[in-house]
Amino acid sequence: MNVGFFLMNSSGSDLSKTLQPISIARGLPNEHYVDHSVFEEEKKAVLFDNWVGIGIGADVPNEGDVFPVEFAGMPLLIVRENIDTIRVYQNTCRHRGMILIQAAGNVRGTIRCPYHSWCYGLDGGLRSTPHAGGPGHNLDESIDRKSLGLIEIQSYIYREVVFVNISGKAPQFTKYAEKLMKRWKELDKPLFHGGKESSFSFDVACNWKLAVENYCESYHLPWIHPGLNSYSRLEDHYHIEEPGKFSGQGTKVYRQIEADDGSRFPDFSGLSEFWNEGAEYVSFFPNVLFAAQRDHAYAIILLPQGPNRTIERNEIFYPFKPEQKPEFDKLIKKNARLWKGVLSEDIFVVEGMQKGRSGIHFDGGKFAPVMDSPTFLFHEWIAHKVEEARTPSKSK
Amino acid sequence: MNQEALNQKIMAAHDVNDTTTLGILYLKAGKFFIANGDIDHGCFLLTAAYVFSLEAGIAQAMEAKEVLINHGREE
Repeated sequence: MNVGFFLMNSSGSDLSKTLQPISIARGLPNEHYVDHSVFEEEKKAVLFDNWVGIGIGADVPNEGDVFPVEFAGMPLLIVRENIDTIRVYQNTCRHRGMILIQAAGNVRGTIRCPYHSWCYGLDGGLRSTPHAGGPGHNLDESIDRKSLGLIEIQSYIYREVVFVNISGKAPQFTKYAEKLMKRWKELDKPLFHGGKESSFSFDVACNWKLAVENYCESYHLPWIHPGLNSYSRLEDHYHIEEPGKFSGQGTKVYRQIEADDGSRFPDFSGLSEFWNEGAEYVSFFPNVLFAAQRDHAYAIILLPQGPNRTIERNEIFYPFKPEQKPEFDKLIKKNARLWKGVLSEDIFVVEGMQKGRSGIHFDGGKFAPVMDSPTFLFHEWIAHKVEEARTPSKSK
Repeated sequence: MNQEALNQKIMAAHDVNDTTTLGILYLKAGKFFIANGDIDHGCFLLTAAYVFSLEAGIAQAMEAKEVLINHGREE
C-alpha cells in the first residue's frame, strides 16, 4: 500500500512516482492539494516563478484606472497608465508597507497612500513625501525618490489576459509562451470583451490545479457534459500536448451558437479552413485556461485562495466591439448563459476530487495513458517545477 | 472668507474625500499664512494642497509645488 501522504518530510513531498512514464506514474500526492506548507511551496516555485494570469485588460479600460488583485496573497495593482500601456505594481507603499489601493477605481492624478500620503505617479515614480523632513518640510536627504518608486512587476498582455512574473525569474513572456503563440498565430487578432454579462466568477472549494486538470482533458466530456454527445462525440476530440508548456483538447466539430433568427457572431478575420469546425481548449500552465474558436474566445483565470479554495474568473471575448454591434446584444447574453451553464457543470467534479484527496490512502491516482496524457503533462510539469526549486542546480 | 469658515469647508471636504476641493481650499489657506509671514504653517498647509491636488490631477498642484520649492520644502 502506498501511503505517500505519510512520507512527507523536511525535504518536501515525495514526487518520485509522478516523475515516471505515464504508464507507471501516479498523480501528485494528496498534500499538493490539501497541505498549507505545500501550497506555500508551490506558490513560489510554480506561481511566482512563472507567468500567471491575474486579470484582463478590460479591468482597466480607461487611463488612470486601477484594479487591485491579491494573487495567492501577493498584493498587486493593475494600472492603465495610458491607452497603450498597462503596468502592474506591488500594491504596497514604499514607506510603511501600507496597501495603496483597496478597491478598483480611477486615479485622476497620483496614487496617494492613505496612511502618510506618499504619492506615486501612474508610471510608479514617487512624486511626493509630505512632511518627511518635518511639518511642512517635504524633503529629507536620506530619501532618494528616484529609487523609491513603486515596485513594478513584469507584465505582458496576451489574448487580453494580464500576465505577470512575480519573482522575475521566468524567461521573457514571448519566449515562455512562444509555442502557444506560434500554434495560435492566425488567431492573434484584437479581442474585445463582451461586457458585464460576459464576465462571471465561481468560488470553488478546490485546489486551483484541479480546475486545470479537468479543463485539459476530453475524457470527462460524455459524462459531465452529456449535452455534447449528440453533436460533439468523444471521438471528435484530440489531445493538445506541449510538454512543459501547455496541454488541452481540441474538437473537430465546433458548432457556432445561433440567435433565434439563425444569425451568428462574425468570425475573426483571416482564419484558415481548420477553424470552420475546429476549436481548441488549452490549459496554459500554470493558471490560465484558454478557448479559441472561430467567432469568440474566452479565458478562465484561476486565482488560488489557499490549498482548497479557488476563484475562477471567466471572461468572454469577441472579434468586434459589442457597443458597435448592438444587434448581437441578445446573442452575447445567450452565449454567456451557455458557457456559464457548461462550465458550472464541472464544479461538482473539481470539488469532489478535492474532497477525495482527504482520503489518506489515495496515492495520487492511476492515469489512463491514452486518455489522461494532457493531465499527466500538467502533473509532470508541476513536479518538475517543485523539484527544480528544491534543488536549484537541476534547473541549470 | 474668515479662517473659521475656511476650516469648516475643509473639514466638510474631508468628510466626503473631495480631493479637488481639498486641493483648492488648502492652497487658499496656505497662501494666507505665507502672506502673513507664517512660513512653516503656510508650507504645512501647502503640502496638503499639493498632495490632494496631485491626487485629483488639478493644476493647483503646480502652484502649491512652486511655492514649496521657493521655500526649500519640495524639489
